[in-house]
Amino acid sequence: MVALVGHAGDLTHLGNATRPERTVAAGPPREDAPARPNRVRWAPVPMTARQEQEATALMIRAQQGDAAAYATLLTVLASTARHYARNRVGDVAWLDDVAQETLLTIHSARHTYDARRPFAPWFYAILSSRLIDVLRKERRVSAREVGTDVMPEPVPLATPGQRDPAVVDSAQLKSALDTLPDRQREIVSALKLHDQSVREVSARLGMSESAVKVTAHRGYKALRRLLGGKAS
Amino acid sequence: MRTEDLIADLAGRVTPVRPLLPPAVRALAWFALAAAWGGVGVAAFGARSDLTVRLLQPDYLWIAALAVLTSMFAVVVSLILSIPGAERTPVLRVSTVGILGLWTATMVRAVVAAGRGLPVSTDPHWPVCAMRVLVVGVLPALVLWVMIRRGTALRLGWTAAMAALAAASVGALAVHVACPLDDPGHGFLGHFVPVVLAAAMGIAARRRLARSLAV
Repeated sequence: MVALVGHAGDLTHLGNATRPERTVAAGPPREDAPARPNRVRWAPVPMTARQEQEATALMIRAQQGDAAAYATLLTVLASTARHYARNRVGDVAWLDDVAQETLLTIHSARHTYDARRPFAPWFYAILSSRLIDVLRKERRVSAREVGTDVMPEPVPLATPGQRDPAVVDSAQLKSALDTLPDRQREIVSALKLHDQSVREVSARLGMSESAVKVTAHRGYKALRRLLGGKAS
Repeated sequence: MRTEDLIADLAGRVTPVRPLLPPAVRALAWFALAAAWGGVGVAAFGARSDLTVRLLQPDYLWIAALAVLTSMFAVVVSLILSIPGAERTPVLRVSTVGILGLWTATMVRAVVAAGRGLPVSTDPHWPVCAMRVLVVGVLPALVLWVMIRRGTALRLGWTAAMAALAAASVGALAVHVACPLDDPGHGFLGHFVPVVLAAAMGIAARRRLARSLAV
């Protein structure tokens, strides 16, 4: 880890590789305006020759299985991704999502990098694509979800002290989870208790996203059966 | 999950990987296989009896050349698109669309010049040829699909359309060599339309492909 810090220290300038022109936002944002990202501008920002050389060297070592070089590279690229996204869509809450999605794609696509080609186009193609994906997802979510500041009051139960039959307590849930097969339990816990995305779980477990979804679905069905149809 | 934790997790799981061969090399390998498979198709359907004569006629050769060029360009484009950032300029993609446009124009012009319209219901053979185009194209399409899956396609609509176009063009070429019918309407419906249809199906299936590729 010390070595990593040393590497990262040498390369922190890579994180500032982007100096893109900030886009749009004619005038200051209104106080009451929802946090809607600005229009996205896609022209990739080239790295300097030195940054390119360093990133290429790290990527080659990462392709050879060098974990320290890979961690250094990912640290720098995460910072670059956040910076790039912030410059394009503003200081939104999901900058880390963009960085993480980018890192996951880099991980699964690292064999597609050809050291004879420049690193920046490869990286920025992935980054732009992931930024668009996250942007679309956030727009979908914001169009459908209600903010917590306008959350409706919870409806009280008919009789004070009466338990809602649809509610499962955590002890019940835990014991039901414990009866699931290892892989199902791990996936359901990761998705529902630790708030990980399907992509993260699939990358961690080395499974395809479809396989993760299928296993999770089986887990939910088993849980529903174990809990007598309460865990919907 | 915090980004630092994700980085630690990914770095902890990093294993050596073998970089993919350049798209041009992989395209060449695919085209060799597809050509061999097209040859198998021609052998199975039987080459037209006057092939040696037709091979000397420019109109016949022109359509064969368009099918070959479409397939070659489309496979290169689809494999380039499966590598992030490898497409530095859209020239190849535009060229492929241009060649397909030229092929379309050639077929339409021939149909119009013949003045008989499209034999949708009068020619019982065009559905057979259309099926043959798709049947011959299936194996090259599957092989190409596997090759694309080894990469990371970010523009799925284009990638799928180009892959389907490349594979169906091989089928069209095989049927062009095998089919003894020279009616332009038959050629349009039985040999050409399936190629365009395959490309359109590729675009339409991009969401499903996205799930399959998980990119």
